[in-house]
Amino acid sequence: MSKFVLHKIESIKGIQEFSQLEINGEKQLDKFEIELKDTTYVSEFKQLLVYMEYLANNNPLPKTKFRELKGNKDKVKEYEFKSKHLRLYAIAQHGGKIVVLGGFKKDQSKDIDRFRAIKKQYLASL
Amino acid sequence: MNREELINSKEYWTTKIQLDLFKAISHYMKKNNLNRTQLAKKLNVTKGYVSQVLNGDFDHKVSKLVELSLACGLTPRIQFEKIEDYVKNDGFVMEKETKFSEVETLVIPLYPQSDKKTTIIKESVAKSEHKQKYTHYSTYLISGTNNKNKTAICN
Repeated sequence: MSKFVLHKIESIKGIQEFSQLEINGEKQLDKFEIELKDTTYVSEFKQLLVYMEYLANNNPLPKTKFRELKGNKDKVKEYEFKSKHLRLYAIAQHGGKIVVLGGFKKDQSKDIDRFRAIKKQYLASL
Repeated sequence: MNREELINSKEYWTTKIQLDLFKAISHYMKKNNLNRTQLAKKLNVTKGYVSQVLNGDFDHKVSKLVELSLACGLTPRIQFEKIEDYVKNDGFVMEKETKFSEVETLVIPLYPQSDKKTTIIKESVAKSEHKQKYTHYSTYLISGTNNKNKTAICN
């Protein structure tokens, strides 16, 4: 059984609280950022943080940058933040969102499967 | 990545401006019941151009930004603020929800004004989430007489 912990995303300031999920000691957003270090995707990663912050302040985002995922089979909403090559997958939490996973656009399909599996485990752990 | 690093990045500000423009144009379209084609015709630009703006990908000349803003009945104003001041004040002005139905100004906060026409507004903003009060100063270049409307972007 995985161990889950929530951590506030400190780089984002907003009305809504944005957190990242730690799974067995690994903070998922930080892990994704480390994966992108010294690549050309760092710039896109920063854009994703700004999208989250904009939404955290109850501002609208273009549909090309943020959407609610379809095909959700439970009541906890699922979201995707999008840049040209990167994706962040998040779920709703009271008064904000939880970033569960980060990945590349090219891996979107399998990442969404993984995201949903993690989400299921996390919700079961509550 | 810590907040200071993010705020010091060009991506942070470029993306914020793109999103603010998207928000202003979207609001204008909704208010005037326009679709993308109609808006493109009204602004005398291509539909693809409008799509770029509405996708939050606007990265054109300053003159185009001004043109778009004016076409939507908004005056774009650029402000410069010291990064350390922004970090200190936590960027709270920008992060408040803007209501374009109440304002006539698209504020792009980038610098502190020392112009005589500048009005410094002190605001106390209750951050209900933490049940804590933050006080911050925001500087606007206000050339009109109706300051209430010009500063409504903070509300």
